[in-house]
Amino acid sequence: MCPHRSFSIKTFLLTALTGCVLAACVSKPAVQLRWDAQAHSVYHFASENFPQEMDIDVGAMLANPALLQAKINELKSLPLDPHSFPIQLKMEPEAHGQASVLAKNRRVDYPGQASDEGEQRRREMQEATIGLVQLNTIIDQYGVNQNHFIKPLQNNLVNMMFRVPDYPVTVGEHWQIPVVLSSLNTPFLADRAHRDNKVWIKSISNDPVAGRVAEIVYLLQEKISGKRQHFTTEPATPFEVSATYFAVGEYQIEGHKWLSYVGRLDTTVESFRTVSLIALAPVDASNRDPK
Amino acid sequence: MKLAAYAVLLTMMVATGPAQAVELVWHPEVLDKLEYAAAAEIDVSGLLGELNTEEWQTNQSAYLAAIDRLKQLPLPDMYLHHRAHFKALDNGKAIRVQLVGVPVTFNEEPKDEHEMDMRDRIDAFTNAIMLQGDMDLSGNSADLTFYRLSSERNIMTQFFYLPNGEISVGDHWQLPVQYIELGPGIFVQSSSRHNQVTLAELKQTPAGTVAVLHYLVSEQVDGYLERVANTDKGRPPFGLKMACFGYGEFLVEKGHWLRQVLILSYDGKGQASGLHKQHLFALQLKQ
Repeated sequence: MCPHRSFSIKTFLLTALTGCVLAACVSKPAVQLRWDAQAHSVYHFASENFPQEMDIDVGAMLANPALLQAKINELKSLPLDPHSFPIQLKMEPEAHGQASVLAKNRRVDYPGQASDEGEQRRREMQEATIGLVQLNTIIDQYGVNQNHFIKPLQNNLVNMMFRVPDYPVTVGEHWQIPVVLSSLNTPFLADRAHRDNKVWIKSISNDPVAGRVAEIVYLLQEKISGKRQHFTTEPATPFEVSATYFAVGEYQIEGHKWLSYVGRLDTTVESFRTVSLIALAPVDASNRDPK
Repeated sequence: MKLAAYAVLLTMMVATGPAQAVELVWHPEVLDKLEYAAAAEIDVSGLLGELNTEEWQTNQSAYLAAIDRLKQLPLPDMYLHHRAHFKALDNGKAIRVQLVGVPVTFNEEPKDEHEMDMRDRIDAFTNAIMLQGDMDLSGNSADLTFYRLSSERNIMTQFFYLPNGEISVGDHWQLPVQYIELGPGIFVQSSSRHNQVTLAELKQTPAGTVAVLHYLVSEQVDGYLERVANTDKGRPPFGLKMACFGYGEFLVEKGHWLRQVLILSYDGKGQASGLHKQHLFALQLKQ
């Protein structure tokens, strides 16, 4: 055997092995997100108007990590009181490794008197609708909705809050969720339509009590433009519809549940803008480092 | 004697032949030169009697009899008061369809209130675009208009969805539609779905090969309605059945419909017991 050849093969194998070890050390670990179908979880849930100013430019946020981080911080520091979230959402075990998701209006113990007439009316309405079902479905361990007859609005909520990839993902790896924010009917004749749909784990931290916690970011956008008919003698006029959904959740990987979830749905139809809050807070928050 | 037996066998083989396979593909280059008379959501409740879509799933002769009844249904101008126009998009990879209301001239007085309502509706929507959608023709006739109301996406899918690849008589596939959408207060205790479009026949005609498709989609839910706790009115029952049945005749070599006639029916029970409707959707190629 040629000694040079033997040396070169050994060198090659050693180099390759070292490369593999280094690559394994450097590559990001993949995590499998999933819901624990055996667990009983209770959240306070909000899905309501929330006219808090916040400019969301999805393109700019995706292109500028510092801007994205600033917006995440802004979203996480919104002045929210989970005790006043008007809905209770329960997840309970079902057959075949699935879980039921049932959300109903609940009795809210407000800390003080209503600040104005509008707030008083809102509280009375809440009291009158205790028990009103807001969400009612069954999901599998990856949050796939099992209720084929669910309305698109509720289907969106389920996918925004519970859909996770059915494969391991690494930090920074994008996936999509089956959510459609726009729902236009006949008068709107679209010429252009565009959408972004990106969800990813931004970071994984270690909490002494909760264990590994994944910070998951949701950034969805739809823009549609064209002409709007009026079904009168008035000629069609241009229209533009846009919708963005920006959310951040802290997911307890080993506990298979949200520690927090705050989302902001912003829709503009022509010049009419509505902003909604979609938020979840676990009722038992004791599974978190109290620092 | 042996020779005669072989001759009989050969004749039988020729007569039976291998199953003819066809591919149903839209031809966008001709579509934008065509015009169809179209019916969209025309109320034809009661004209066809009760639609026993559960029975039809297992009783083929009853199903075929119903398709035959539908073929006898007259399609007067009053029903076909839209025109479907097509426009190729993205170098023929996609196509835009528009259903536009057209004026209809009536020579007689309306027979009843229903006809009067229909005439008012025709007047109100003359020249208006009643439906617009973009379909991807490069793959599986997918609806590109993700932003449309789901009921309108269903209509687009009914009109344009064709199966991928070669198919033979007897092959069937699913129509990617979902008709029933339930609010969160309805709790489903039992449900069923049947979704099948079948290549029923390949006919040789002077216009070329016509692929006859039979549609039978049925969705049914039964359960109850949960009310707000304060009203304390119990849990009233709720049931809903929606079905789409009908036929289509597709010109295989020319790559477009000759005609398609579908009925979409709604039948409610319990809290939805007032809901009994049959709507006609149709496309008829104008020569």
